[in-house]
Amino acid sequence: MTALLEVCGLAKSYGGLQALSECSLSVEQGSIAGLIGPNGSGKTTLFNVVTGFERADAGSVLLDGREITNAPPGRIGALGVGRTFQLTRVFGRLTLLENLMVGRAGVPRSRHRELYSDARCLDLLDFVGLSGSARVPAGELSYGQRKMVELAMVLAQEPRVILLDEPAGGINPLLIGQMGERIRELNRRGVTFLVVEHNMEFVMGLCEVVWVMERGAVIAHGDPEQVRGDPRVLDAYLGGAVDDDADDDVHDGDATDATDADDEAGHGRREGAAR
Amino acid sequence: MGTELAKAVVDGVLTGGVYALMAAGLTLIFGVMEIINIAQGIMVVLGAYLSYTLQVHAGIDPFVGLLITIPVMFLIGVVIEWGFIRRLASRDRTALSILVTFAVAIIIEGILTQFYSADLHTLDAWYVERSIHVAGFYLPYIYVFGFGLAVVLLGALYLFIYRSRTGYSIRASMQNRTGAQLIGIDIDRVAAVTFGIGAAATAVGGMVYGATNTFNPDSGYDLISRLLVIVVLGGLGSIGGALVAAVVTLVIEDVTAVLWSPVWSSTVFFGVLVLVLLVRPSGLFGARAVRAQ
Amino acid sequence: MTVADAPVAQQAPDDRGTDPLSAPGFRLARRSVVVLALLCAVGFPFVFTNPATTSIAFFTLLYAAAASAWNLFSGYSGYMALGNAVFYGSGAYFMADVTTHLNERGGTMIFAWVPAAGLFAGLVAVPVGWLALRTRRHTFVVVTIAIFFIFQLLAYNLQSVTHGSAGIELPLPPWTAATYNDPFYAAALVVAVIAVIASWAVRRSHFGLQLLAIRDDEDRARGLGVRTGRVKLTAFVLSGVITGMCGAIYAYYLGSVYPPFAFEAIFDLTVALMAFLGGLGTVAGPVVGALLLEPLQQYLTLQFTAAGLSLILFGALFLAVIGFLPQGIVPSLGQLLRRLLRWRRTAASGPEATR
Repeated sequence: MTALLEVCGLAKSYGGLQALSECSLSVEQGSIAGLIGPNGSGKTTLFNVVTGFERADAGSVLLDGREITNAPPGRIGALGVGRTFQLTRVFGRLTLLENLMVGRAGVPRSRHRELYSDARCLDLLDFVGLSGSARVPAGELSYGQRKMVELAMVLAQEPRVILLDEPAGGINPLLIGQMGERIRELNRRGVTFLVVEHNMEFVMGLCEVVWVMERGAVIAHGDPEQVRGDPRVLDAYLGGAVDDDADDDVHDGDATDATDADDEAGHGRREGAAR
Repeated sequence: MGTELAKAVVDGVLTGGVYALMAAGLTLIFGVMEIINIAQGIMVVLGAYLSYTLQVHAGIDPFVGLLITIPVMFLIGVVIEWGFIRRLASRDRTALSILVTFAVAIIIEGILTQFYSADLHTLDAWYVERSIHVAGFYLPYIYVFGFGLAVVLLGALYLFIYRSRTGYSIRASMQNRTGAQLIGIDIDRVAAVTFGIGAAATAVGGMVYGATNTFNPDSGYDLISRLLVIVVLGGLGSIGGALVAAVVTLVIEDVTAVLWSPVWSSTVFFGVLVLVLLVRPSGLFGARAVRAQ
Repeated sequence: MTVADAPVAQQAPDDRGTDPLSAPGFRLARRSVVVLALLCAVGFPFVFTNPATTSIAFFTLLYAAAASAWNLFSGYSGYMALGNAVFYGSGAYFMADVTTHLNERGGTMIFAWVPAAGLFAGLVAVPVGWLALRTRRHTFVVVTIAIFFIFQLLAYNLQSVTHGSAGIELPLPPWTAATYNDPFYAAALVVAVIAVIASWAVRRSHFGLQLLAIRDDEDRARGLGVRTGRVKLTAFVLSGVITGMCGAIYAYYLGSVYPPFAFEAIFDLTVALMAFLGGLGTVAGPVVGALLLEPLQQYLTLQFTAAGLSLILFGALFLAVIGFLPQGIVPSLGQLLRRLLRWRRTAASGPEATR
């Protein structure tokens, strides 16, 4: 299997703060990859650099072998990389349909009718369960619904890989389940995913591969089981905040061989970072 | 030519100092409250009229009169902030503030026209006519005193902002409004004080302006356009930037008057902004003035 | 498990899905209003022949066009430009310069130069817009103000072109006093119609959608592929062209141009106020705002010859509008109507239908 998205040795600093250093990961075509790490580990910065919203100081980003480092965000979008945001960004005063239509500017003219016909847009809204609100201003929707709109906006441009920034953050459990379902459905249709999340249950249940970041670099990766038991990962999180939405029973056994001190610190931290 | 040029530079520096004080008030207001006070120009004119009234009707020397006009303008600033600025919705705040303060400026201009008519006035005092003879130049005392006062006040402003408790609150609000609220800073009080400081600066600026120019209510436009240019040139929110920009633009303007022609000097004043923006869209010190959210 | 099985997926349709104001009945009503308004506007000078009245009507139409032009850029993109007077004045001076240099005689043919004046203003708008749009939103406003003052100073100082404070005289039309205003009224009407059509066409187009997206979240729009720089500049130039045409007509009407009249600071505030009052970002808003404000402004200047009082009233009016009707008349009315209609609809279908 080939890597669709590859990040090699990415570095980015803000003044004195090194947000990314020697950061490398790769996402296989057709997979759902997860990206976790304590607050401040650089996950959103990585997304920003990959999608062109920020410039990399060093390193490269490759899409299907082609270098897209530091390209303008519109161009990267046109090449097939979609992205959602941690705090949803929709156009509040535009209707849902209009929100979708904005993205038409980012695809070549030849594909306008194919990708942005009224029928397809309504279909996309239908997919995220919002076709009934097609003509409602996006600002009137709830937070969770806006997240769905964002997803539809990304899908409209028919991306090959979608970077999701905390898709399950701040929405009710029912909607989280639907979000997961839609991601799986899209993946079945061939879309590759890289998902940043603090919700461990969500990530571990959804992703085939999980990458772990700490302080701007990747410290571990593997399938969910491997990562969960990796002492380096546990170590990284003991100093940070972990959001376990699930109840204790799911995780207690897995924290396993860690010492009592680790357990306690883990429990103590559970109240943190509920976003 | 050499002495004329040198004199132009000195003149530019001296007047620049006074403009710096007024511009500092304007940029401070933006830095703390993210609003652009278009009324700053007409407030300078108001300050000039206040000094004038005190002089003509009460015989009070303009500099002495500052003891009255500064607190009065401070209060007026607080009232304006409380009455009009505070109620602004947070979305499109800056854009709305421009329109609102523009309207307030128009109202003040109307009030001044009603009370004083459109006749030109000026402040008169011994230091306006007489000059000090220094190193071959004749510098009008008013420029020297005005500059001196401006420097003293800018220094006081610096101490206030960097050494006092309220100043600490102001700086905190400038960097992170919400954060400041969360640690218990009274944002409303900070806003009122900041606006008041901006207004107080116009009292001083108004007095000096009134003594060195003839003015009427229409003068507000020229003043605000210059102050805006200075503030944008220095970078919105940067007091140091305003200082540098004020001196630089006024020196360039005065030098142009000598080297080229007085007719074009004011156009060049604005032209400097255009040139700088071509190279640095956020002003000379703009990047540093950007607020963290 | 597929998407189809996901519970509570669909939003309740229709209750919020469709806008009651887009029902066919309303569409017909809206169109009729527009046609009616147009007929009234065309017939106005034949019914109200008093020159004083037609003069007010002339200015109203002119400002309706200028306010629509201002709204086309500032209202749709959210970038507040307070320097449109630059284009107004440029159009005015172009008109004056061309007609005097070509030694034209006064008459209806002079109006043929109006579109050229508009294009000239548009050409001016290109570098001005390019420069101003390099800056952030906050700085943008200030830059437009600064550019305005530069132009005003240029008008005073470029003696060879503008004759400085002496101004330029335009050819005098040979029309009688009784019907003097009528050709101007017609010209203003034409420009107003052009402005409204442009506003409407932009609003409906994808170009307009991009502008509105920029207004809400420019970075996001750019991320989606919108060419923000190009879109903004195009709207800015279009706004300048229409405003320039207004200035040209104004110059001809006045008969002469001087720097303070051609480049007038209050102009920008006036058009902004009209757009705000009527509804920023709507098509009808600026027109409604002009219809309400311009006659009022003319009336005030006639009644209160004391300039100070009219300024105070103007400023106070502005504050009142921003304070009480921040959205503007047209959107507020629209919201009111929608609420009324939804209330009637749910009341009619019975209490069980309400959620």
